[in-house]
Parts: sequence; C-alpha cells; structure tokens
Amino acid sequence: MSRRLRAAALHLVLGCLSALTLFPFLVMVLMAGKDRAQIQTRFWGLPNPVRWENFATAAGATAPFVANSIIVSFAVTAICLGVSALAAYAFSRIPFPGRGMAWGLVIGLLLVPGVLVLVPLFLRVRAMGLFNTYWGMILPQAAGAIPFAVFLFKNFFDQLPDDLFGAAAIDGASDLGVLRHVVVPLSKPIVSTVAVLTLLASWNNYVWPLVITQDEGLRTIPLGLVFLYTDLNLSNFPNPGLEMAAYTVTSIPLLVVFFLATRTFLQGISSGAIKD
Amino acid sequence: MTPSGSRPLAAAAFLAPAALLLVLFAYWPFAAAMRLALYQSNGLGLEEFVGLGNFRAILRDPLFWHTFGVLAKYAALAIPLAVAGPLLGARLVHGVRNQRAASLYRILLVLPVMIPMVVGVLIWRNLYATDGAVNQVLALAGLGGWARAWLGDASTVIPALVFMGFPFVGGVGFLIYLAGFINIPVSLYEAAKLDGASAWRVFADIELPMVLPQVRIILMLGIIGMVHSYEHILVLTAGGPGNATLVPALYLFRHGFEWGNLGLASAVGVVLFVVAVGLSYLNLRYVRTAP
Repeated sequence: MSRRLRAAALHLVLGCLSALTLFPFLVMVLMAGKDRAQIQTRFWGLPNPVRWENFATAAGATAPFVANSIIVSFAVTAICLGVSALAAYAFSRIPFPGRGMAWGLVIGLLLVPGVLVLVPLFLRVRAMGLFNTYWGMILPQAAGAIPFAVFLFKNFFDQLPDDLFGAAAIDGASDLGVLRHVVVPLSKPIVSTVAVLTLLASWNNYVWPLVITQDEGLRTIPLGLVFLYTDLNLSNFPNPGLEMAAYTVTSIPLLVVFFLATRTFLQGISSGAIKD
Repeated sequence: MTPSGSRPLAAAAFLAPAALLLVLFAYWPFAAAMRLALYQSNGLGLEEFVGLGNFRAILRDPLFWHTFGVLAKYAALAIPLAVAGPLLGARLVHGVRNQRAASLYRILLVLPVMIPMVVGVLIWRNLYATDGAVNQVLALAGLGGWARAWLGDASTVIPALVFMGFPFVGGVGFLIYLAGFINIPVSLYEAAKLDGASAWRVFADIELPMVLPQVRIILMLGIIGMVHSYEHILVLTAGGPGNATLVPALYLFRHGFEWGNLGLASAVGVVLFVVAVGLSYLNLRYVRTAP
C-alpha cells in the first residue's frame, strides 16, 4: 500500500470513529430544534421550521442549575488546588518528623470508595448544619479531591531542580514566597491537570448534591436535568425536542471554557503526569 | 532535605488546611462507616450494636450475591473495551502525520468528556426508547425486527449500558495513552525501521511495552470505577428491570437512602472497600510495567 493511500485510509477510519463518538450529541442537537410532530415524522431530517422556543424555554428552566454548578464546581476546584498545593509543598520540601507516615495516610485515602463513606458523610455534614447549603455541597467534594491532587502535586514538586530552592533560600525567601514565586510558575502543567480533573469530577457529581440538598433552588446541572422531566411535566406533555434543547444548553458552558483553553485542558490530561 | 533540617511548625502550617478538610470529611466518615457497619441504625436515633450481624445478613441475602453477578457480567464486557478501545484510538491518532489533523482528531475524541456525564446518560435513555434513534437506525438498515425497548429488557439491558461508550476510542483514557505514545523515543522507531520491522511488529515489540504503564493505570481506574460507580445506573434504570442492573454500590445506596438501613449499607461498603483493595493489589502485583 502506498504511503498516500495509507494516510487516506487512516483519515477515513478516524473520521468515522470521530463521527460515531459524537453521534449521540449530533442527534441531540438535531432533535433539539424540532417539535414532537417533526421528530415523529422526519426523525433524521433537519428541523423545519426550527423551534427556537425549545432553546428559550430550556435556557430559562436550566439557568439556575448552570449558575449553581458554576458556583459549586469552581469553589471546589479553587479550594482543592490551594490546600493541596500547600500540603504537597510540605510533603516535598519541608522535612518534619512523621512525614512518611502522614504521606501514607493521605495516599491510603485513594483506595477508600466514595460510596463507602456516603452515609456517614451525609450524617456528618447534616450534623454540622450544612444540609441543603452550598458549603455542604462544596467542602466534602473539595476534601474528596485532595488526596489525588496532593499525590500529583508532590510527584511534580519532587522533580523540580534542587538548585532553585537553594538559590531562593540564599535570597532569604520564605516557604510561602518560594511556593508562590518559584514552584507555582514552574508547575503550570500539573496545576492544569489537577484543575481539569477536579472541575470535571465536581461538574459531573450527581449523587452528592442529590443527597445533601433539598431545595430546587440549589440543584446543580446533573440533578436539575434528571428532575427536569417532572418539572416540565414531560410525562403528560412529551416534548423530546425540549428535553434535548435543555441538554444542549447545559452542555455549552464547559464547552466554551474548553474551546477558550483547549491547550490547557489537553496538556493537562495528556502531560504524562498521570501514570503509576 | 534542606540544610536547616526538620521544621515541624512550618510543615504544620502548610498541612493544616488540608488536614482539617480530610479529618472532617474523609477520616471521620471512614471511621464512622467502619463503626456503623457493626450497628443496626436508621440514622434517626435508633442505634443498636449487632456485631457482625450486618455482615451475616448481607452474606445471607441472595440479592447481595446477585449484585456481584451483575457487576461481573458488566465488567467482563466493559473493562476490555475501556482498556483496548482508547489504545486503538490513541495509536491511530499517533500515526497521523499532519499535525493539524492530529490535533483536530484529538479534540473530537475528547469532546464528549466536556459534556456533563448526565447529559450523555439521558441522551442514551432517549436513543434507547422504543421510538428512539437506535431503533430508527435499525429500521434504516432493514433490521426493524430487532427493535425493542433496550433498557426495559433484562436480556439486553447490560449490553445496552456497555454500548453507551461506543465506539470506545475516546475520552480521558485516550489522552493518557496518547501521552504514552508521544513519549516513546524516536530512536526506537528509527531502529525498527532499519531492521525493516512491520507495523504490527513495531506495535507489539515497541509501542505496546512502552505504553504498558498507561495500560496498567487505565485497567486500575477501570476496575475501581467499575466497583464504585452506579450513578449512571441509578439515573437510567434504577437497577431494573427487576434487579437486572442492580450493582453492589447501588444496593448499598438503596439500603442507605431508600430503605433506611444505614448499618447494612455500611457493611456493604466495607465489603466493597475490601474488594477494591484486593483488586488493586492484584493489579499492582500481576500487571507488570516495562523495565
């Protein structure tokens, strides 16, 4: 097989695989602009006329979920990044007695399944008076993300050249100064890795907001979408186009962030930091 | 080690915020779960020490064993696909010479990760409906006779859950593999070329051993994820039809939050913890990385 033919075959295969990967989302967008009659009579046809009101209704119904998800997920990510970077710096660069044992305790948490602690965590958070609050959603998720974040940060900090720290020590820089001015600027790949993974985990978390909130006003995107069926009374007035429009509009915020920061996202996950 | 030696105060200051969060929301609940597994409790005040009674009760419950059967069937289909699919995707994209095309494929194959997981799940619920896209595709292909309510049929529901990942080549696993392929030294490829090795030999003798660490981490993530995840099942089928998709984690969730048996739920959690630790150990022990 000639080189060009081979390249063409590769593009064909990858083109098909990409299309199949995105197929459910293409169907989603195709259906979102249609009313029920259009979906029943011409499933694969383009919407004609486009039912823009689906998007307007969906955006109105889901806007509070999007706002809540942004508040919760960004707070979780910010808290996790901050406290994990501090802790990892201590594990990597500040000798203290019992460091090995403390490290083992943190790493051990990686094996504890979220579902095991779900019940006692719920009881604990309720006892702290955080049931049905933003903090009740945020703090446990941030804590849950810490062990893996500290693990990734420490491995990265360990590999930074020792000379840098020696020079900073001669300049009389404090630990906090070293972390801010020496470590963080060099750690962009790992910071983006941890940020992306934490953000995605929180953005997709369904069960924790489900058990720890009660008010409809606190629903995040996953929770809001699952309950949307009842909220819009879709069992009595089936409207698959409206459902799909809701899925489409709630997908947009993270896609926008992704396209604004594609490089950060992709480098984050593929920087090679995630192995062993 | 810095020359100044041990500095416990500075370390304590840096560790304090993380330690506070972990004690409150990780260690305490973990200890409480261990304790709760030994009690009969409904979370509303009733609490009675029953020793290993909860473990005895779940081990005698046929439903508990059934949930592990469901998990085994599900994992046997899903895990090989989750390990091999993204490997294929990454290998194909790694072979694309045109850098622009390569980064386009990379974006397209990762895009679904950026869409809320529950959106993917709910779309598939719609696609699997009797008048949904899956049956429409079958009708177009002249296979209308195969149409059915895929999630409502105990014989098709597990394959239908697995098939939601079709064509299995993208996602986070794809990026992890791609990083592995990119880090393979060019000199290895050049040496293989001089030897006149076929593409298959290059893959089997060079690439696969070099990405074995990635295979291991994805296998590990897949196994642990399999034992722990139930959210998509809760949304899609709630364990049904019948109990055809009731996995152990969902069984735990129901005991805890639907049936009010917090002690039993915690006992199931302890069993799952032991299973996850055991599987991770086997994985570390027997799936070796390249030297």
